[in-house]
Amino acid sequence: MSERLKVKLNGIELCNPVTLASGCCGNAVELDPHTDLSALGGVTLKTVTREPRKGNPPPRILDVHGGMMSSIGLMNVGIDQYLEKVLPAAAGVLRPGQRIVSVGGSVVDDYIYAINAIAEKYGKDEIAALELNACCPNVKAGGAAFSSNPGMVAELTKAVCRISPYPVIVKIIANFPNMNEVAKAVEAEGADAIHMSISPMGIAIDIKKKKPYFYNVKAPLSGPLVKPIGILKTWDLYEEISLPMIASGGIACADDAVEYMMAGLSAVAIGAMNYINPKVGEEVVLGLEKYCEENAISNISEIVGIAHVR
Amino acid sequence: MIATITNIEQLNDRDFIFAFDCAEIALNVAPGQFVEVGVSKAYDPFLRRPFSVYSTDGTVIKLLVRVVGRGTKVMSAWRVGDSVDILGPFGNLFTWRPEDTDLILVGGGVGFAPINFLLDRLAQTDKKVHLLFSPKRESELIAHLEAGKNLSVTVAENRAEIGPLLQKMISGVGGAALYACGPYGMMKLVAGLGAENHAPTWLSMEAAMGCGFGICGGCIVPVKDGEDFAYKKACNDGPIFSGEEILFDE
Ligand SMILES: Cc1cc2nc3c(=O)[nH]c(=O)nc-3n(C[C@H](O)[C@H](O)[C@H](O)COP(=O)(O)OP(=O)(O)OC[C@H]3O[C@@H](n4cnc5c(N)ncnc54)[C@H](O)[C@@H]3O)c2cc1C
Ligand SMILES: Cc1cc2nc3c(=O)[nH]c(=O)nc-3n(C[C@H](O)[C@H](O)[C@H](O)COP(=O)(O)O)c2cc1C
Repeated sequence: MSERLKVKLNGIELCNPVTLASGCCGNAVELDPHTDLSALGGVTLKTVTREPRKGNPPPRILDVHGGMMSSIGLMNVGIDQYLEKVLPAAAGVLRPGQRIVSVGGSVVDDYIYAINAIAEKYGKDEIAALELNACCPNVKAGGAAFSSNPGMVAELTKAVCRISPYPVIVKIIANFPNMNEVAKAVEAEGADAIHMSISPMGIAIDIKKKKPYFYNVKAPLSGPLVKPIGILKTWDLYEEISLPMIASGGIACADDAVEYMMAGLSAVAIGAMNYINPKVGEEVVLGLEKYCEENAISNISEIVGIAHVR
Repeated sequence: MIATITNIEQLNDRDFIFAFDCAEIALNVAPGQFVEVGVSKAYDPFLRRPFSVYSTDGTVIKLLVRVVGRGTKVMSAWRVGDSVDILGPFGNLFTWRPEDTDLILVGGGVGFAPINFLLDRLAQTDKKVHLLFSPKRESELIAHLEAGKNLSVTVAENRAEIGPLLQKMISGVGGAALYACGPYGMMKLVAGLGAENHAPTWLSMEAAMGCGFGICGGCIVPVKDGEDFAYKKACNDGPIFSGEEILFDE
């Protein structure tokens, strides 16, 4: 692997800026037979919570023009089984420097509990980064997402950064008008990086049944159709913060990754594209390598935010 | 992998049999398994579409496809020679026990696809196979079958006839195992009769699928879990489930 693609997001060092997004690569073992995982900069495992979660009733998936809607509901086995089975299996197919563990919760204490449990078994060199899924509803705030409010996200980030042995990425959902304030709070409380999930909400109605298609009525959109929104959010946030940024939102090929990086990302996360092309991650890595070669770029970080220079 | 369409047979105004030259899948697939077909290179439709394998012939796989929506509409315009991106095979298999001498297979409409592949494989054994197909108006789907010493074919006029006919078949052979794929109501009925008759029952279940290989968590099927329930993935844990396990809607 070449030096050209190495990136550093504060305490997080990745061999290249291409990661797979949580919930879109299972727990790595399911994807392993279909792609060369070793090519990737990072693989973010499915979000784990303190207690097991069944997730939402079916249907959970809907194809829409240029992308999809989904309503999974954080289905996972809970931290105990995760540590017993899931994480050891994932660790078997990923290098320590590729392992990104995603933790969710309903209250701050849930996050802390799960992170402490992970830290008891895995040393700081065994996991590349911890991703806080701050898109989860905070039950103490009537179910508003942690990342919808600067105060809530600050409290969560601060509490986690205090105890985490691993570098911390805070993942926010980029749907709120106060997103820039939320991001500033994440930066101020000491996270290593911020991850914007570009997942605008939508509703689909089953016209035969005359009712919403999804049990939870509203569901996030993902896939190539959201990319222009993602470039916009990245652009705006790049002008507001200096914290390294990651985003997931419709990245389907190396050109998309280059475009996002020129708008300001330090690394990219690939989500729904994995479903239709399980090799997309390695293809993007190869494409970036070629891009650097063709454009005489000695390190890919040179292009971060380059489109802003007037 | 990229597969070339070698033949297309149109059975009626909405059912097609596509043949793809696709050695990697053809040589590895077993009855009950499915493939994920890339419908559009332009991400519209975005997701691949899952189809059970209908039969294999050397390096060729065949799929029986019913046109029901956007993706299958696109497929209906495909021509011989087109190349198509297909992933698989995925999912678990129909299995049979040495002691089951008689197997009853139930196919409902286009749900006959995996049943056909099972029929093909069972024809290579000495098992006695009893097929129940429904509904009669879609009989062109089974027109190629030839009843014989080891295969009997029964056709139900419609859903209402399936129950009585199936019960008669089970009683007739005594101790048969059941295999079914078809509409939800039919599966529920087969599971019920399987349980009443203490017959091992295997159902190929459907769910809206994201990926087909276990990374999205979309295609869940509710199953019993003691007093509680759980969700299993149709792609990885299935698509074949035991009838006793499935938690059907009231
Ligand atoms: C394991 C497995 C094996 C299968 N095997 C076969 C097979 O062998 N042969 C076969 O023909 N099919 C099979 N299917 C079903 C097949 O995958 C679907 O019919 C196909 O994906 C439909 O794609 P489409 O784009 O044409 O339809 P879509 O447009 O995706 O629609 C599919 C169905 O969902 C409904 N739908 C779509 N959008 C909405 C909405 N907004 N609200 C409510 N309902 C909606 C449609 O009415 C339609 O009935 C299988 C499915 C699975 C899971
Ligand atoms: C089916 C599905 C499941 C997801 N599950 C999770 C999850 O468990 N945790 C999480 O942080 N994000 C989850 N996401 C969000 C993705 O990680 C990503 O942020 C989003 O899909 C946007 O990227 P994309 O357009 O490339 O898919 C999920 C997305 C999808 C489509």
